[in-house]
Amino acid sequence: MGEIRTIGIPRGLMAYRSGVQWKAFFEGLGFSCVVSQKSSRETLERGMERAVDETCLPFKLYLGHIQELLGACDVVFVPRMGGYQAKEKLCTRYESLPDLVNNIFRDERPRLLTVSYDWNDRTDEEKVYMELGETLGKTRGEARKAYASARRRMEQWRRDKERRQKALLEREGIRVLAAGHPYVLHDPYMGGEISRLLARQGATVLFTDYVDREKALKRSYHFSRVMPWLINRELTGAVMLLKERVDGIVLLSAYPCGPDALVNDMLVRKVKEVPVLSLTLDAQSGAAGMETRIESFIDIIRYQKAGGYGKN
Amino acid sequence: MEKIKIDDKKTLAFPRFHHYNYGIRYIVEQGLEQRYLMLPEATKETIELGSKYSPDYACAPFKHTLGSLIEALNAGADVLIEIGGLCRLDYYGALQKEILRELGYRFEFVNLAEYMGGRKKEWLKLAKRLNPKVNMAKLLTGVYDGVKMAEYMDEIEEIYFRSAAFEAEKGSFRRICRQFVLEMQTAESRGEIKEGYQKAKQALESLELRRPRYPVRIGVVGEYFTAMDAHSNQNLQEKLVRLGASVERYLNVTNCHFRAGEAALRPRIREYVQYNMGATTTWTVYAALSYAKRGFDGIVHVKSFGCTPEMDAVPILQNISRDFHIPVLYLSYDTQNSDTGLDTRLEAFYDMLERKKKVLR
Repeated sequence: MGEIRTIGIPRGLMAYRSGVQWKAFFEGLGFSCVVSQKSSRETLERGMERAVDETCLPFKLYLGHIQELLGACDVVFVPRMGGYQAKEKLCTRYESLPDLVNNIFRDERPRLLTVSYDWNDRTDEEKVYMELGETLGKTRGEARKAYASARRRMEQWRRDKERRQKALLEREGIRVLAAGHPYVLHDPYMGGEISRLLARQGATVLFTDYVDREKALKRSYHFSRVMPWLINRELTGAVMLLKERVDGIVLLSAYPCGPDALVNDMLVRKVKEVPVLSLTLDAQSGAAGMETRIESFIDIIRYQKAGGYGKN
Repeated sequence: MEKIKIDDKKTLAFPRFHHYNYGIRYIVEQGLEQRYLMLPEATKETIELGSKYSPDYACAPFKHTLGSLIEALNAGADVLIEIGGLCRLDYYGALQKEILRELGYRFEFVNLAEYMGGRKKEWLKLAKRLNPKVNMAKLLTGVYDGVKMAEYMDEIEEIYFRSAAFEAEKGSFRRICRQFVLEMQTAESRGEIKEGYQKAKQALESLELRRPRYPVRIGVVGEYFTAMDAHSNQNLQEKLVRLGASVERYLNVTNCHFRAGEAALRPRIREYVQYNMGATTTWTVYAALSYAKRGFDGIVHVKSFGCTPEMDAVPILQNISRDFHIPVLYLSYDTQNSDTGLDTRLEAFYDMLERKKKVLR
């Protein structure tokens, strides 16, 4: 490997969950980071040229982000993340990420920075970061220090989000919980649009990933012992924790999400206390056409709150 | 009227899965000493039933297996068994159980996803639950022989698809395989399994072949369930044989579970893949690359629509296709498949391969 000065971080997929920690870790080791621009129609169009038609919208966007970073940095960070526990895996796409990017962009000969782990490795987050530090040519001491401070930074960021969301829970009026993968909820091209539409209808929007992760994860085991996916666990756990305190839930999924296709169906079957709206975003329409559905959903909640349907 | 019970055995059922239900039945009946409900061949109605009660975006195998389970309950099964795996399959059982309960069925459900990768003790507990009087020695022999049966069936099938297109007497391969399947269906001991296998293998090998000098050879790769299950892939391999091709499919239960594992296969695809990409992607890439290197004429990639791990194999297959100049036909199955549509595509693919071969020679 030649000398690395700048590391590119694609603003897609798990960057919305762990990006703060990645960036803090690399910067703590003395590298500078380039994060790709927020998703837009152009990002998607670039990604769609490269992706297999059937792949999910977030992955198409991710490829667009990668393309943007090629040439703009020394290496692009594309980790292979399988999950640390057999019942807390990630979707198989995270296992194939580095190989996928290498094969899709083969002609460009991309230089990737990667680290790999899955539940078979019996490893933990700290060890994975140590390995990453080693790949970057840093000593264990340096890596440990950078990891500790990156973790603190992440923790702070999360607590901050959680605290702000707690305050929102006390607000009067209609409270809607947006449930989904973090990269769907917060990507301006996907969930961002939906949050905006909800807010315009006068609803306070809460997010499943701004709930205490550890608590949500624990709670999810009451929902299902066998569900194999970490993010769906955090999401369902958060729904379970908050369902009594919100007026409605919007299940936000990007087409075609494998885990969501099954888990959201289960959620709709099990959550009967609050109205649930299931929205699926795809590459064709984006958020267009969602407006009417959100409007009528909020109407239903308003009517319900005014005592319209009686007690259910 | 009440069901007449001639003994206190339970009736177990497992979703249809290619020819493997015979092996499973053997294990249940000879090993576990319970009754097994053998479903008749799937029909259009099976998948209609399954689709009706499945989430829209669930993969086709979810719908096929749910359809099988509903039919099994309608036929009188007491205990349903569903397996787990390395993809969405791991959540099939949990959701299917919930769907069936909501439909009002009453049954015992065994979700093997809860046991896979777990300790041996748990499996023994499960055996005890399914039959409190289970004889452990018998169970172990039953499992061993059932697995052997599956391996034999895979082997006979392999011979069939490799050579059936060149049989001198029309229907001779089919006849022997039918008889073989019938014998596996009625086998009650290791001896009977072995004898049936030997007879079939010998008969197949002594058949007269009219093999062209340069036959078209096609390799089938893809997703675990859809690539193997002939009903799900609309008899893809049989269709290719009828067009005149010699067909191979590396992916079967034998090669997936009882031979070289993922870690052993991956070094052989190092040029393309560095890590385990999940589920059976390594098998897919390995098989495709070996077909390419062995000079096959074409590859058919089979998966159900929305299958994430197999979708991720596609960019790699595209690179293999470019590097080795081997055409790949990508088939993505959902539950609304037209038979004629598939026929046309396969015919065109086969003709193209045949012409390419002639021109190159």
